[in-house]
Amino acid sequence: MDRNIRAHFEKVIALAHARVTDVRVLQNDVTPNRGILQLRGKHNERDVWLKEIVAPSRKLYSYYLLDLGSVIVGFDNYPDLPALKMKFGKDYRRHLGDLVPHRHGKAKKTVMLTSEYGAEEFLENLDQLANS
Amino acid sequence: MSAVAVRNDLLNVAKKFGDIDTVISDALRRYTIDRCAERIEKARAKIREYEKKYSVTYPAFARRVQMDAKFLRRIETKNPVWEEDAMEWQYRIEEVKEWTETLERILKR
Repeated sequence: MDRNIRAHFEKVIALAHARVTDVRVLQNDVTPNRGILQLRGKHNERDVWLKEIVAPSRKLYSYYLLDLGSVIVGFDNYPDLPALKMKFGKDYRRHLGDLVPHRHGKAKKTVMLTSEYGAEEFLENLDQLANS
Repeated sequence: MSAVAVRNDLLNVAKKFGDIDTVISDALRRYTIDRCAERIEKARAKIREYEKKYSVTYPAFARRVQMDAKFLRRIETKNPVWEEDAMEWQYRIEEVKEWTETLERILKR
């Protein structure tokens, strides 16, 4: 499994170098069952924050584009209250801890459920996302 | 048992300390114990960092961002990309558990 995680992280880093400037890999640590990748970069004047965690049986991710510390657009699957309510309605308390892929809009004022998102997709679509 | 290549000069020195199989097994055991302990300490340091940053333990943090709108708003004002921290926080807790189990297995043998 670690070979797959390593190869995936290397692919993401290579793509980041192609799509983003000032790439800094803050963490790239893989052990047999799990791995964590965190990088920062610039897209035009904006900040790209990317973190991906691969653990047994699941992937956690957070891909954000920020302007002076304010969110322009972001994708993550960490369960927060609005995303849980949107996905599970009144029943959301029975799903605490469930991963919920979602998208945050400008200044996090909007939330939209999405399908599972990937670092490659995020990096490939940065131009479009920056203007969304 | 596995065969591994070891540098001859090191092997010759190691032989001076006793039966070579025992010396190598002891060295490998010591090495793995140290590396596990390092991993555990590194993960614990990260957990302490997050606990200090958010002034709560992870279970309380996770519960409140999922149930307490006021808490969530406060967190988002301080750190709009708190999810990055939350997911690593959880990851480090799991990491401590895994490496501790590995360490205990080594120490029992």
